[in-house]
Amino acid sequence: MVLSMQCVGYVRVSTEEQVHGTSLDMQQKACFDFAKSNGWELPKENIFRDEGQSAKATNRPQLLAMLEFCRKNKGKVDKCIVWKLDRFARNSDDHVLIRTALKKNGVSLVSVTEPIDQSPTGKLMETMLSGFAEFDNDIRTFRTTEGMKKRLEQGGWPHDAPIGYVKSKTSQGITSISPDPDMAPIVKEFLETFATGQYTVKQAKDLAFEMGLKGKKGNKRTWQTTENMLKNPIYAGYIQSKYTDYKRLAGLHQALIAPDIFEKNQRILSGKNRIQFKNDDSEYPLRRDFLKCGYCEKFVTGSAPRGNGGRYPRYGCMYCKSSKIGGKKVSKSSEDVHKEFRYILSRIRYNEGRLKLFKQIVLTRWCDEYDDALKSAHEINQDIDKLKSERSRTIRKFTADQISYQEKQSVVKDIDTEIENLENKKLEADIYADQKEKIVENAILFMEDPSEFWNRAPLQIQKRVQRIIFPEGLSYDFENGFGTVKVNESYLLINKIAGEPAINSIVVAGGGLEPPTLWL
Amino acid sequence: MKLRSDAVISLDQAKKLLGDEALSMTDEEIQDLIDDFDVIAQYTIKMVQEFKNKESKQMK
Repeated sequence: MVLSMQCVGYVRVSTEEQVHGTSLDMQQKACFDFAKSNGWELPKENIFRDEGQSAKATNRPQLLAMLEFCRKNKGKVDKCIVWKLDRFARNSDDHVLIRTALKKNGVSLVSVTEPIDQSPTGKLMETMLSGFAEFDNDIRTFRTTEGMKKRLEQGGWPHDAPIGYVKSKTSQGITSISPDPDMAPIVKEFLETFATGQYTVKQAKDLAFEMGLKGKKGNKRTWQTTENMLKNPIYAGYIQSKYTDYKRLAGLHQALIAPDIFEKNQRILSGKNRIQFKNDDSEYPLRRDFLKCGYCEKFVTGSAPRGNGGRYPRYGCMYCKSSKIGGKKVSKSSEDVHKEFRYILSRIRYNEGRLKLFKQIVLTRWCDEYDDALKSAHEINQDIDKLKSERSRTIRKFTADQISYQEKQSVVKDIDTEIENLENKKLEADIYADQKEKIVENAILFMEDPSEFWNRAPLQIQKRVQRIIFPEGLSYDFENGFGTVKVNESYLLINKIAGEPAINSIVVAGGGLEPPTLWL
Repeated sequence: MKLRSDAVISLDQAKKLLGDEALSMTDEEIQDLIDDFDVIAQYTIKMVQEFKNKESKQMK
C-alpha cells in the first residue's frame, strides 16, 4: 500500500533497441538515480517494464497497468519518471492522451534526459519533444516502407512467409521465401484439389484441415483465411502487396502451383467455374440452377413430401400457385421428370468437334494415369524384390541357428502376406498399363450414351453434363413437359425429338449438339 | 474421387479441335467446356478402370 507521495517509473524497449544497448535495466537504473538525486521516493515495485513493445501501440500491457496504478492510488503518486519522452509515445496525439490520463490522477511527467517541467518553457519543451518523437517515427516508417517497396520491386518478399513457405534470402541477399519442405507439398495438393471445382470455400476449409493445413493453434482455419490462401498469387510465383499498390509482380521465389491453376481457382471463387451443390441435392440434380418453371421462368425446387409411410421426391415451383394459373400442375414427381429428361438426353449426340475435343482430353488424362501406373508398377516391383531378399535372409538366419523356427515362421508369414498385397496392387497397375485402347474406347462409349451416363454419374458429374448440353438450362412445364413455353432462337431445334409422342414438347439444345442422325 | 487439376489442353488446341463452333464461343466459354470435359473424362477413366480391375480379378 502507498503511504506517502511516491513516483512511478515507466521503461520500455523495442526488440531492436535491446540489440543496440538501450536496455530496460539501464533505463530503470537511470530512473532510480534521478529520483534519488531529487529526493523522490521510487519503490522498486512502482517500476513498470514493457519489453519488446513498440511505442506506436497504446495497448502496451505495462503502460496500461501503470495508468491503472496511478488511478487507484490517486493522491498518493505525483510523478511518473521516464528515461526519455519517446518511451511514452511516438506521435503527439498518443502523447497527449497518455499525458492527460496521468494529469487527471494528479501525476506529472518527468524525463531523466529532457528538461520538461510545469513551467511555460518546460511545457513548450515537452510539446516539441513529443513532436520530434512523432517525426522520428514517421521517418522510420518512411524508410521501412521504401525498403519494402524496393525489395518487392526486386521480386523479394519482406513480409511474413505464408503457410507453405519459410523466410529465406536469395543468392543476391534479397529477402524472399522458399518452399517449406513439410507444408509446401500439402499446400500444393490443396490448391490443386480446389481447382477441380468440386468444393465450395466452406468445404475447402474442412478439406484443408483434413489435409493437415491447420491454424496456428492446430485448429481449423476459418473460411476467410482459407479463401485468402486460395486468392494469394504468391503460390503461383507472384507477389502482390499494398506497397506495390496491389500490382501483381513476378516474384523471385519458387511457385507451388502453375499460374493456370491459380487463375482457375479465381474463376471458381468468382462463381464462374464452380458446380454448386449440397449433399441433399443428389436426389434433385435438375434443381437450383438448371430447370426453370415454364410459367414463371424461375428455378424449380425439390422436396420430398411424406405420405402413406414413404417419401415422395418432387420437383415444384414455389412461386406459382395452381389456382392462379388455371388449375395447372406446379409440381411433379422427380422420377417422372428424370425419365423425361433422360429421354431428351438419349436423343442427343455431340457434334464432331466436341467429340474430338473430348477424345483428346480422355487420351491426355489417360496418358497421365498411364505414366503413374508405370511408375507405380516399377516401385511395387522394387518393393517386392526387397521383401523377397528379406525372406531369403530370414531363412538363412534360421539355417545358421541365429533365429528359432517360430521366429522364422512368423517373419516369413508377414513377408508373404505383404508380397501378396503388393502383387495384387501390381496386377491392377499392369492391367491399367495393358489396356490403353480398351479404356479409352470405353470412356468414349460413356459419352455416346449421355442418358445412361447421366443416370449413373454422381451429382457433380451430372451437373457438368447438364451444363455442357444445355448451357442456359431448360424450361419445364409441369403440365406438358420440357420446353413448351419458350424456344431460344440461338439454339438448334431438334426436330427428331420434337415430333416424338412420348415428349409432348419442343426441345431445344445448346450449340455443339446434333440430331441423332448425325452420329459419328 | 481425387482429380487432376493441371491444364489438360491449351485453348488453341481446343479451338482447332472444335472447328467452326469455336468461332462463336468466347475463350472463357471454351475454357469452361475444357474444364467440364476434363472432369467428365477423368471420372469416366476411373469408372472404366475400376470396372476392368474387377473384371480381371474375377477372371483370375
